[in-house]
Amino acid sequence: MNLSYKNNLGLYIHWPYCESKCPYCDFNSHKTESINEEDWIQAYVNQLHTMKEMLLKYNVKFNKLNTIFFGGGTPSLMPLKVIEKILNTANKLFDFEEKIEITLEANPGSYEREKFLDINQMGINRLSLGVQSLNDTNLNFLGRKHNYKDAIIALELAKRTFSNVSIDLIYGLKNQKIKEWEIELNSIIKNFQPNHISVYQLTIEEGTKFYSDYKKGLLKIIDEDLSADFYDNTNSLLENFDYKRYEVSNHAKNNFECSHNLNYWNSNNWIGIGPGAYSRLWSSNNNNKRFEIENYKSPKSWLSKNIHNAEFKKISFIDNSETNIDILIMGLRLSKGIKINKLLDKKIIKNEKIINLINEKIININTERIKVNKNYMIKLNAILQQIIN
Amino acid sequence: MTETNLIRNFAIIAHIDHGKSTLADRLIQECNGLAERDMKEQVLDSMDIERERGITIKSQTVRLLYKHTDNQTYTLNLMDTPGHVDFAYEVSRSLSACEGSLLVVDSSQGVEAQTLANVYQAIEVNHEIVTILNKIDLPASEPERIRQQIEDVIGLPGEECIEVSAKTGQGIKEVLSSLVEKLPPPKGDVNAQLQALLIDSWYDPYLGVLTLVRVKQGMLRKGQKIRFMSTQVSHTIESLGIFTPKILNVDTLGPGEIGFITASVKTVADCKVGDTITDERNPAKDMLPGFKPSVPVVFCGLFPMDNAQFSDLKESLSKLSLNDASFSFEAETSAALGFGFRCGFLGLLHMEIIRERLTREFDLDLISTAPSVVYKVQKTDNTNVLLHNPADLPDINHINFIEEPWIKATIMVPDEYVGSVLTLCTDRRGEQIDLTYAGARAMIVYKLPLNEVVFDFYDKLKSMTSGYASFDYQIDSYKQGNLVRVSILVNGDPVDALAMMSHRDQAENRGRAICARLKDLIPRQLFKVALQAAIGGKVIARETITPMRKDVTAKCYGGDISRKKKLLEKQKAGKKRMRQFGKVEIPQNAFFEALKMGDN
Repeated sequence: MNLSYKNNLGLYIHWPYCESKCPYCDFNSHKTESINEEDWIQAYVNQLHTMKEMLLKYNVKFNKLNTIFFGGGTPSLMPLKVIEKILNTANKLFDFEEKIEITLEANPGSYEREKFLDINQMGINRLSLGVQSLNDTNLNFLGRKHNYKDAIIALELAKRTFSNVSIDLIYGLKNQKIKEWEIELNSIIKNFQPNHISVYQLTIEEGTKFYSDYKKGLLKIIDEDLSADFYDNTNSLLENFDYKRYEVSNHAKNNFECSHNLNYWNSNNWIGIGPGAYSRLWSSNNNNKRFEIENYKSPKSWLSKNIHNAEFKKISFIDNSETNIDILIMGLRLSKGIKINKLLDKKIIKNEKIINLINEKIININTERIKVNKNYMIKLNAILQQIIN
Repeated sequence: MTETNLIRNFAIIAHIDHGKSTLADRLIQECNGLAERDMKEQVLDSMDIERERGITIKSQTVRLLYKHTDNQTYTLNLMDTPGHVDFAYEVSRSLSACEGSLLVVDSSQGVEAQTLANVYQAIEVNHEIVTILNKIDLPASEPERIRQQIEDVIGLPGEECIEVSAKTGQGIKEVLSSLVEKLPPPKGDVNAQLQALLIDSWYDPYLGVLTLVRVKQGMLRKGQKIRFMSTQVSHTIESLGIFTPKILNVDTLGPGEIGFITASVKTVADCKVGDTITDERNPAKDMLPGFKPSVPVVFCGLFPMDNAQFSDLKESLSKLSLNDASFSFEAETSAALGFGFRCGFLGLLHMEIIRERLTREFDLDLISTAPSVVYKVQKTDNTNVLLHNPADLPDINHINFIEEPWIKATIMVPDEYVGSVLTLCTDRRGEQIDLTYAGARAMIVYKLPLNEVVFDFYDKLKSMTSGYASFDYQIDSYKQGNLVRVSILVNGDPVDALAMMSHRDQAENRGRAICARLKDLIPRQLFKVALQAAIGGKVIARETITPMRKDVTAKCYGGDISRKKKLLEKQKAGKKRMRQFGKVEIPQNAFFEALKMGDN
């Protein structure tokens, strides 16, 4: 895709419901309740219409919609009609880029699997499967509803149905040995050849069950050295299979990087609809200022605020100095780094700290881009702190 | 003016927590009829820190009117003495202002090292001593054992001790009557040339500098022109007064009386404790004996965490010194810590109190360097230098010898801990002077180099004796020592604020211990950090802090930006407590903590 990123526009749709809440998850997700399909369709559609008006009002420059991402929650639990209606409305309002990437997150459970074909026919061309692990003990520990067998069946089906399949995996679990993890990862790749793999270390987030277990001393997290070994070994194993680490935790075969997420990391334009979703857009009106639109977070209040007319929780313009920091925080996660001309204030790359980091061969700057050198991606937070302080 | 034969002046001597302040409150209540609700708990300790720590920092005095069994009303001047060794000189001046002492011993605890030091001082100035066994209401009280101990250890008659409970009021009347009967009235000719002892002075926001005095002979009058004999400064008395404990203005103060004067004195630095005040027109020939200007013995560097606070720190130090002439400060620059002050204190507690007041009352965020004592350095050209900061040590080739201050330490401890206390003292280069037992308690007397005590000796002593040891010291003498400066290098550059003086035999151990502690105190960084200890050019210890291995957020997508930024900002706020040294970030507490000797 040779699009100029600047005018890219992505659409994120948040579906807040899950079959059950996983103990590590701090996302805006809620246990399924009975919902009124028509109400939800109406609210999403209202938001899309209002978004279109906003883009015009604030003079946001964009070509066509180049990515759509259904996330959650568990969007594979979404009624098909809701998905269909959202896609139709979006197409009508924004126009789809010819090679638009449309992703949906799915769990490997049997109910979700049955929908793979239907959603593919609706236009979803990329499936992101929440496999997490191929080990039943681990899946159980993570509170997942599916087992090893479900995962295998779902993976096979997904590969047959979609031309672009991504999987999510988690490592650094209780008592997990690096060797075991490598064997597990190895077998997934060999047997299923996903096009894209996201690998996360289990992190304990505030407000989760794991967090309270951790506070009580019932759950330990792996230490820094072991965590680093996990990360390094994972990267080299994936590299051996020709998966390129293009972002801190994301690996892809050639040309299978997730375009939607690249919109985030490249600080392009995106619209977020649904409970708790954020939009970030560049306004040409306001001296190229970036602004953010925030949605009501709880599903109930979001629905009630949007069922008649779209109502957002907050629209706020972001200071250019903050935007610069945002661009670096997101952009330096990419192996390619960030285009310098993205930065509103080019001086930021001339400060003493950055020059030190360049001298230490921790970051690299050429005329076009600034990036973190490969071996230092693992210390990105410490580097960002140096830069933004 | 009160007739001298109706005056009794007494100082209260007690160990921390032996109930001195409660007793004083009870005496005030008994004599001056202060209503219960007017009595803030513990009237005498007026500073917050004094109350929290249960120690007296400034001398305080109260006049009690007591109607004795002979139907005469006596004026009893109660003098509260500073309860800590750092203020030994202040204690000696307070004692000089009185004819007798009231010794308070907790009847469940017994005699402590601090009690001893002050009692000996009182005996030295020929005080009559009324001894009371306080907290007699406690079930753990053992009056008979403590009576014996008082005889054995102090040498005062045990059977004369009065059993008191300041809490219930038991024995209070007996104490008052005993003070009148046992203590001699003050002497002094009202017609002689004025001699008044300056006991203390402090700054009051409304009244200016208040000076507490005891008239020895002659008379102080409102409007009188007076002269401070040590400084030769003259002032006119604006007002005279006494504390009841409320302020009560009077027109004159005669022989034997204790009260305060105000005299448009600008700073307390002009009012030297122990000085003699006389009449400008008809001056006394001689000063009262015993005056010596106070000299700081412990120094440390205080630096603002944020360099922008330098002027705030300066102003706060000036304000504090208004009230406390015994600490000194002068500007200092450190390569590691920027602009700050080298401050001198009477002792360790004094240092802690000042540091705490700066933080608490003036809301300053400070970095403190490890304390150092004052060394005397004789250079090869035979000139002498007083070294307040190890970083200023002259080149080793230009030094003939270095002398360090020694103390005489008295430690009282239950006998089961004697072994470990002796080991501690020996490890700290101590020389044993005396070891005696009284019942199940031992009194250990050692000479120790002050620089071995200045840091964590007292903490160690307390912890190894489960808090049972009490400790007291007095400055002894300067002695030549085989001393070297241990420098600490971070990535090859010496950090001035971490330099320390050490005996050569211990230098390597110390160097190793500091490097090891720094390794724990400094978090892993992006780069490898080399820590070295060196004497001159010779490296004696080294440690390496390996670079951090992982610090990265796994998930960061469109909705995570604000949250992620908040996290980085939180970490950034934590970093404000770090000091940048070259590429290395050193936490502020490291400059103090690193030099704690620990267990070596």
